[in-house]
Amino acid sequence: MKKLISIAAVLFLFTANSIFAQATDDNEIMIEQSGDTLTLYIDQVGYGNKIGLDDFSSSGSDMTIVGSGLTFDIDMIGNQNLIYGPIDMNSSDLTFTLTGDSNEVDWNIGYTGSSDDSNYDFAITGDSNTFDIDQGKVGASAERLDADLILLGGSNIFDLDFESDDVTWNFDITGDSNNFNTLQNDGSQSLTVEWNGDSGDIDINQISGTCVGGSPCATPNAIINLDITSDNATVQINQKDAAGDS
Amino acid sequence: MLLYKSIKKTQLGILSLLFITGIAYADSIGDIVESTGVSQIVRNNEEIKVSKQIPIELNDEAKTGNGRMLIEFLDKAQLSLKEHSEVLIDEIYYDPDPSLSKMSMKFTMGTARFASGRLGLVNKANIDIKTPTASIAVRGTDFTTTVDELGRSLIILLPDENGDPSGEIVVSNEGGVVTLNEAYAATMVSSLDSSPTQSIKVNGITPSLIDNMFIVSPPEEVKERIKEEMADDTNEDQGLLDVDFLEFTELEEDELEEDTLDEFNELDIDELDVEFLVDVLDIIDSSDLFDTLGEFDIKGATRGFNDESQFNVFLQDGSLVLYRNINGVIRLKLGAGGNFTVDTITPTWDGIITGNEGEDILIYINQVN
Repeated sequence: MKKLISIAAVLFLFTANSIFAQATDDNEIMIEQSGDTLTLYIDQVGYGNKIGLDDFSSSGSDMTIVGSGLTFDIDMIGNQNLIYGPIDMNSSDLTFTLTGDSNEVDWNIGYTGSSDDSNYDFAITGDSNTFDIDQGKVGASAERLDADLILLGGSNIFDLDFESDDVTWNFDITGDSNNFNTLQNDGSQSLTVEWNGDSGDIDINQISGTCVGGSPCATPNAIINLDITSDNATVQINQKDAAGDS
Repeated sequence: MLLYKSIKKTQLGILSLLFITGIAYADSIGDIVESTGVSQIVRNNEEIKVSKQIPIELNDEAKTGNGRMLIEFLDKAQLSLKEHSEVLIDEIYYDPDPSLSKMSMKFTMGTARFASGRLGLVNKANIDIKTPTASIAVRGTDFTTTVDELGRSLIILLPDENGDPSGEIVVSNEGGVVTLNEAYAATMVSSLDSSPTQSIKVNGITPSLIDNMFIVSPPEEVKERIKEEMADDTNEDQGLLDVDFLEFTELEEDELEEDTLDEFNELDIDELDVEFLVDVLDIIDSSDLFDTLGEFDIKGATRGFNDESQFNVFLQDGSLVLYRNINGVIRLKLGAGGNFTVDTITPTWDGIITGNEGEDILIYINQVN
């Protein structure tokens, strides 16, 4: 049975003596969900907001979502927002739009179960955001991922590790001083990056890994397509069999 | 009576009944059992994106982009397509009498490997594989073809699991006939009316190496054979390498003018090697290379295909593209006029390519384990 959760957390604080609108912080969206065909829309506006499970007293803790045929549409507008979570979802679509600075995203996808046949669309506008996304894990299936990222902003840090077969990533990065670190394990990895910005630090690793069941995967059918315009960038590409993240 | 259509796996058991009743059953003739990356099936002029196991039907055209595909037919024959390949499933029908069954396919582009079915539903004599320049009569079980954009075809007979030849295949066209009956025996056919090169055994390779190798360039033995035949053919009426392509009016068309080195572009990248007939045996020191393309002064490479580094170099919209496809595809597109240094370490080549003053964009490529 399809579930629909629509959450809008929009808080504004106005004072009569101020010409500024100041957002309220610490809106917390706590999600723990299990089941198929969930459709989840979240629009969160403000700063210091969090999407996770519970206990946000420190940096936040995980939201746990397990299911198949899920549709996520998360829209966060504001600064210093957090989103955490292990997600296991097959045949699912994720649309994540983030507008703001100093936000932090830490997702483990397909860590505790399979996350096959997924489609992710990320649209990020802002500076100094941090992304740590891990797709797949040894012993868990997370195959056939199609993901797109459009970033407009500077000084963002991306750490993207994929332990899965048949992954196609398309990144469009515009901004200065962005740091981009990807690790793609296993077979049939395709990475396309359009990079426009100065002082970039790009690390691309495509290496063979361990397939589901623990057996070594063959040399990946690795494709790297880098389109770069920059006055100052350092790019390290490791495309080989031996393990090692730069 | 022939059953001129296809049958489901599950219907094989009642195949005889279908023949008795004369029922023609239109359905799948196989399945895509593996696919990676971008690929599609063209069916009735409709493009079907391959994202999971889907059935194959008659007259389907299998196409791969940056992906691969493995098709298994009902008789367990397997057809695998590498990247940027196209095969038309032309005619397949199964009869209870294998001598009346037939399998016909056209390999029109790219690299494909065919292994005939172990169920024996089709006599090998009735398996007909065509490329734009050759016909392949299958008396073996496992071989590869590589077809470039001009239709030139490289055919290699693969060994069986014991390392013995998997049988025999006969490659023919209007120019002649060549039989391949050794493991890794190869021939190349350059046009429909030029004879296939003599069979030449390619040494020191495995099927997996072929997968990587023949996309980029033909085996050295084949190049040597072409070179030898070119040297031997003093009579212009003999040998495929005596064909003067400039005599053809088609070469005067603008499309072919774009294939000149000065106009080398992405369409000229041919992993199947558009430079098959060019002597590429004389390796030069890439550090001595220099070229100017658009806003780029390049050191360490020149426009076009660089034999030693295996980089294809060309301009695209004012940007410079470096493309290499060995042990993985790396395509770098560097913004117009930019300074760059590409420092590459591979098992077969180490070197540095710089553009303009170098190092504004510093790229390290490491393919060494």
